[in-house]
Amino acid sequence: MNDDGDVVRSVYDLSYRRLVTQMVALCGNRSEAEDVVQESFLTALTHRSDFTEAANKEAWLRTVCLNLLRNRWRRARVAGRLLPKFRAELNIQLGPQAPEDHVALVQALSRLSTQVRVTVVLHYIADLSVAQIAHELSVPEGTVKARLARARAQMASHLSDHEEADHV
Amino acid sequence: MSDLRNFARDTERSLDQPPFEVMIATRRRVHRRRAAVTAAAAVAAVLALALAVTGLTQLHQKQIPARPAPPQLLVPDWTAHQIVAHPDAFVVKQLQSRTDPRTVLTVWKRCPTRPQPNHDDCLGREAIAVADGAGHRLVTLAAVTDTSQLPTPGGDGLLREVGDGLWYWAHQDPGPYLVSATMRTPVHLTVLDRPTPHVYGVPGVECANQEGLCTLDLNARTLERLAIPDLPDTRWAIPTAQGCGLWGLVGVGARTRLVIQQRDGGFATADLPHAPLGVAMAEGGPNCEVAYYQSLVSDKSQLVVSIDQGKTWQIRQSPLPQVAGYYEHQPRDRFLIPPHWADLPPTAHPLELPDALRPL
Repeated sequence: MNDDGDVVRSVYDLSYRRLVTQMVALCGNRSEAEDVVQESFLTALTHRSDFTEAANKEAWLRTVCLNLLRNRWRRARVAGRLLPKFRAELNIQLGPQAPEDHVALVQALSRLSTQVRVTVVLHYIADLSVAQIAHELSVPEGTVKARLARARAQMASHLSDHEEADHV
Repeated sequence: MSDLRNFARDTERSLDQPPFEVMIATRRRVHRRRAAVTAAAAVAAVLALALAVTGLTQLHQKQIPARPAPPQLLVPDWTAHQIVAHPDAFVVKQLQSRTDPRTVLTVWKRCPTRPQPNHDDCLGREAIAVADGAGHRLVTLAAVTDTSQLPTPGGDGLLREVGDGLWYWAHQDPGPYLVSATMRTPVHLTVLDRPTPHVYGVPGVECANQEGLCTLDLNARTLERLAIPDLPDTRWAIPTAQGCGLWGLVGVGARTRLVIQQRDGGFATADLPHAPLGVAMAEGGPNCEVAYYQSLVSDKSQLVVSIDQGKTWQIRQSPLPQVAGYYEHQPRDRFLIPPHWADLPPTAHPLELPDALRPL
């Protein structure tokens, strides 16, 4: 179709930074986050009809990003198993200007399981409600609440003051 | 909460967002490089295997056959009925009339080869079929279209409903046409390509080559090119409603400005504040609104609206259009202004307003 990528470009203008921020929180590495987000926009161009039909374009792109990240993590796990000598240490790279508390926050996030971390990022950084997260991750709302509760317990110092205001 | 909020806000602000075209070109280069490395690795593996099996001396004695040229793909000269009625044909798009849902326009496509999985396009020929609830039906040939990896220059054109069950097909050779179910053959539009000044309030449409803007005269069956400011990277908010002026967004990335037609027919421009985050037009306002979305940190965006051709501005807090679904896919992808936007709450910490208008 001859859409010239207009919609992809418009969503890029509005959502790029939001998505990169969410991916930085998930993977802890800024350049990797930019890489997967940019890749997701290229996927949107090559699968334009799927993308244009998606009601929530940001969720569509986020799903692509998450799949890319999961694939990378899977490959890294396999490589680590095959070549334990070269197993990569946790590599948090937020850029030279990143404040220490941000690094500490991302380190705390990285200690959560992948599922819990994704849920936390969707809730606290993408600002999605429990119902929206349940829909996006195709899990019951109770599961989302349980994951958030688990995350709050593990990241008490970072999340405690969200209790009153959160969407749960 | 505050830690995560601060993290999100600071990270968003510190990110450099490359221009869209630059980003896409870079990604495509990366893909090509990866493909070349993979191909080289595959060739090396095959050669290594060949050496192992045949031995180096034997390989020296043999000629490696030249790679056969790929067969040239041609699209047969099918008639429109041979496309629409064929079991291999598939629906590319289907549009329902705004006024009568029983009137439907369907674009069919038939390809000599089957499309690849996950791609809804292939080299092939399209046909347009319009049918109404009273048994009328028009079938006509449309464009030859290629794949998304190698798109044809005009694509398959753009179909816009310009009357009750009457569609304008913006495409050249064939086209531009008007099509409706009650026609026996499509109506060919005469293209007047010498730009003429635009009269404020006359709706603009896409030109047949989809560059610039035109006015469509249904009675005279003409498509007349408009003299509009020649500004690079301009996206025009079309169609405009009857009685409204033309407007658009110029530029990409952080440096953008609006170009707005004034009631005297002239054009003026207003620089948008240096936007740390993205800007997108909010189109389709029924009251001649000139409006745009500007992303804010978190899940909200700022909606900036003018109802007096850019002289004054109002700001509202709006859900993100790409999340809330203020979006229209057909006939052209665009973000829409929220219905009842005036009832939206004001923004607590509004970003800067556009600069004052300057004549172009």
